[in-house]
Order: sequence, then C-alpha cells, then structure tokens
Amino acid sequence: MSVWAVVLAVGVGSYLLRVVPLLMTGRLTGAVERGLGHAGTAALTGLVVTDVASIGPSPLLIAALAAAAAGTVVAWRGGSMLRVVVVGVAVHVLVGAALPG
Amino acid sequence: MSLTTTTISVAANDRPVRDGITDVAPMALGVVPFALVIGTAIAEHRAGLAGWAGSWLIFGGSAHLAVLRALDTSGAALAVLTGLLVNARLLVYSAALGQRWRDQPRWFRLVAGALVIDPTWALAIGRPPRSPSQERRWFLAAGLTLGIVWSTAMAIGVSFGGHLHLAAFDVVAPLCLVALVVPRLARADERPMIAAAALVAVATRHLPAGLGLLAAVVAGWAAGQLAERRAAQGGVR
Repeated sequence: MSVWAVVLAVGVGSYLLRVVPLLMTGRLTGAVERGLGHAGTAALTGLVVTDVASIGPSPLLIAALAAAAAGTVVAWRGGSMLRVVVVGVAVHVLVGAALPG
Repeated sequence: MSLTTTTISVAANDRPVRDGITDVAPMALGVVPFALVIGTAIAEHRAGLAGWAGSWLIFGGSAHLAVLRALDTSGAALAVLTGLLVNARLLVYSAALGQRWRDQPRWFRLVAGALVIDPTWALAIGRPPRSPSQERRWFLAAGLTLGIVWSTAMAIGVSFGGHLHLAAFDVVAPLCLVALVVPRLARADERPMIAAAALVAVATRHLPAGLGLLAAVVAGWAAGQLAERRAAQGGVR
C-alpha cells in the first residue's frame, strides 16, 4: 500500500471519527463516550512512552528521559505546549552535552 | 482589491473572526516545532507530497507521526489502524461539540468537523455560548488559522528537514504529547488509565510500534472501565 493510500485511509477514517458524532447529536450514550475518552487518553499516553523508548541507545535515551521529565514538570505546573518543548529541548541539549559518548 | 487583501480586511473588521485567530495563535505557535519534526520525518521517509497532505487530511500530529513510524516498523495496515486509534479521542471531542452545535446547519458541521483537534476543541468548549453565526465564524477562523500554520510549518520541515536534523528535535514530538497528557493527571478519574497505559507501553516497547500501542490502549481502556465500576459501586454503598 502506498503512502498516499495510507494517508487517505487515515484521513477518511479520521474525518468520519470527527463528523459522525456531530451529525448524531445526543445519540452516543454516556458510557460509549467515556469509553472512547479512555481509549484516546490511553493512546496518547502509549505514544509518549513508545516515542521516548524509540529514540535510541543511551546516552540519547537518558537525555530524552531527562527532557520528558522536565517537560512533565512544566506541563504539570500549567505551562503551555511551547514552554514544555523549549524547556524539554534545553534539558535534552544540556544532558546530552554532559554525558560521555 | 485582491483576494488576500479582502480576506485580511474581513478578518480585521469581523470580531468573531479576529477573536478566532487571536485565540488560537498561541497554540498554533506552540505546535510549530511538532510540525517541523513531522515534516523532517516525512522527508526522511521520502514521502513528499503524500506525507505533507496528511497535514490537512489527518490533521493531528500524534496520529500523523504514529502513522509514519508504524509504516517503518509494522506495515501499512497497522499504520492505518494506529493512526485511527490515536485519533479515536476525536469521537469524544466531536460528541461534546455536537451538543454545543445542535443548532448549527448541517453544512457547518460537515466542514467544521474536519478542523476538530485538541486545540480547537479545547478552545471551543471553554468559550461561553454565542449566536450560531458568531460561533461559526469564530471556529472556522480558529481552525483554518491553525491548519495554515500547521501545514506551512510542516512544508518547511519537509523542504529543509534533511538539513535541520538535530538529536534534540527527536524529543520535540514526545514533548508535545507530554503537554497534552500530563494536565489530565490532575483528574483522579484519568490517573488509572494513564498509569495502566504507560506501564503496558513500557512492558511492550520491544513489540512493533502498533502492537505495543494497541496493548496500551486496551490496558488504559480496561483500567478506566474498572475505575468507573468501582466508583459506581462506591456511590451505591
């Protein structure tokens, strides 16, 4: 399957995910909505972990974990996405420079 | 008067349109690094126009990046499934907006639906109710502004990504996701899901990207269902 086919399939599927509930106002039960919310939150969480884990061998992984930890603190304290990224990248650069290899 | 000048003039004189643009601007700026990273990933995959088209078609950074990564490790079918799973939360966003937009015409729900994503949903839900016309102009302005900034930044990443690669850029995408997930920890009912998904994702990290993510989603969903059932039983007692 070509990249075009994959992008189109995900695009069409994503559009349906967005539009069907808008057209079915009030027909989704509370239990279904909550279940979908659970799945969505879990998907985002799983992505964070798999993304960090795939960054590469130590010391890159150590620097990435430090960046993720710093970003988590900033996000927990209410920082914007931009602030999370700036602080996390700065920590990544500093830790990466301090580590051997 | 050219189309561009006319558009700018309308935006400047129309309060809901102007508010939509200014309300979404900080978030649009915040996702630029994420878009650059995805653009770089597209360049590395040599996916060119097809990859960039996802900026509008998929309209979701986490799903877009997950699709690119899963294409590498798990093949096309799992890449599609992974992208749709990551975007499954859009069902919930749209269900909430559907309540708010029940008086909107069908054409608006069909068009605006394509622009529903975390920033536009969060901004829309947080706004006090307005007239249907003001709501339409505000949301379309916010969504299109976000989309234009997002796709432009991604195009820059695709065009120059090969020359911009820094190890630190690899961490931008997960940091953007951290910014989306961590605030949810403030809600007690979300913590079991996040904990379960994180633990399972760590345990299955050596599986192909799509399978580990699937396992994390199932674990998080199950933890959420269990927590709800316990809360309901606690309420009954």
